[in-house]
Amino acid sequence: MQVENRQRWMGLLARADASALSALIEGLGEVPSYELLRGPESGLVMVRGRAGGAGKPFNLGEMTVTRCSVRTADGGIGHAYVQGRRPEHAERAALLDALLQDPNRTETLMAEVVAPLERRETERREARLKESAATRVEFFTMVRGEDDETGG
Amino acid sequence: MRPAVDLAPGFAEPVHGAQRTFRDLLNALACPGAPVETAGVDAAPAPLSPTLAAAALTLLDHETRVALCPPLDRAGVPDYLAFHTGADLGAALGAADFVLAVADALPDIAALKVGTAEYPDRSATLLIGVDGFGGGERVRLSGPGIEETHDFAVDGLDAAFWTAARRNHARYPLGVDFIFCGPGAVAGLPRSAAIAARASGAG
Repeated sequence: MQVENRQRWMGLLARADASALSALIEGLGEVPSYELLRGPESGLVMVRGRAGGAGKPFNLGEMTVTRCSVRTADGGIGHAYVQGRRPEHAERAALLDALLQDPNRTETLMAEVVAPLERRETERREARLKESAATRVEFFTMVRGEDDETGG
Repeated sequence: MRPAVDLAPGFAEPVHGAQRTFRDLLNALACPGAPVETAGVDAAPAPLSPTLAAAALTLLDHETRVALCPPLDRAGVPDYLAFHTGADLGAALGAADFVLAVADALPDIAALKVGTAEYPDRSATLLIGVDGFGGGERVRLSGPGIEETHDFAVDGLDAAFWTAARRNHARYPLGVDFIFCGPGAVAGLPRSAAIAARASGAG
């Protein structure tokens, strides 16, 4: 259960708007000091996909990823892996990952940071779906009647 | 959910730190028994010393098989090395490419990989954390990289170690290589160095 929650918030933090994330951190007020364990550093990962009826894995292509690991003053360790070359975003996401693990802060942060991010992501997704729904073309199949044995 | 591990940072500058340390290690092996000043990392989980940690961060990666000898096999050292290097830390002593130890708890050197006639480089490198240079049993080194002879001593290494090292040299070109990591400096003892007892009364 804990792992699922962590997976959820790490994904939301990574996919968040950079500006949204920095605004949310500023809104927190006092944030503990932290040191960088690793990064932020950018590198490439090979993204793999599956194809064919058997779902055989194949290399889809390389993607730039920025990663960062931090340790807060009270010993919490946070990690972040973010798509693209975004060092500040990775650092902020790692810091939030560390803070979210602190049982004293989890509830507050879930409400003040994670829930807004989730709402924005849902809104964005629905807006995109609505936009593409407007361009949807419905196909109707006409019966051509070439083999119509009943005539007419 | 408090983390089960605690981690320390690696090199302050990952690329330059590793490059500088690698050059220092090369120089140490090229001039056997002559300590080379090296910066090390800023902080490492004890009992891993800053220079031993720097050597490990420089030399280990996900392809190296590593054996950690007590007390380096606990107290945050494996987590630190796994996080920063991705190395396989579970290798048996006889299969390891790198063996980490401290001077007062050395493994059986005869049990380590010595390479083969076709591939003498498929041998172990022993990274040993030491308290300093100059104390312990004194020996006289000679051979490649040494003009005439060079006197050498490492704190905490006694006659038994040097006997094992002499046996190791006798297997040249097979054998293991030693890197001693002391405070602020590293010294190298490749298998090519001949080790003689230091003549008594000789300066």
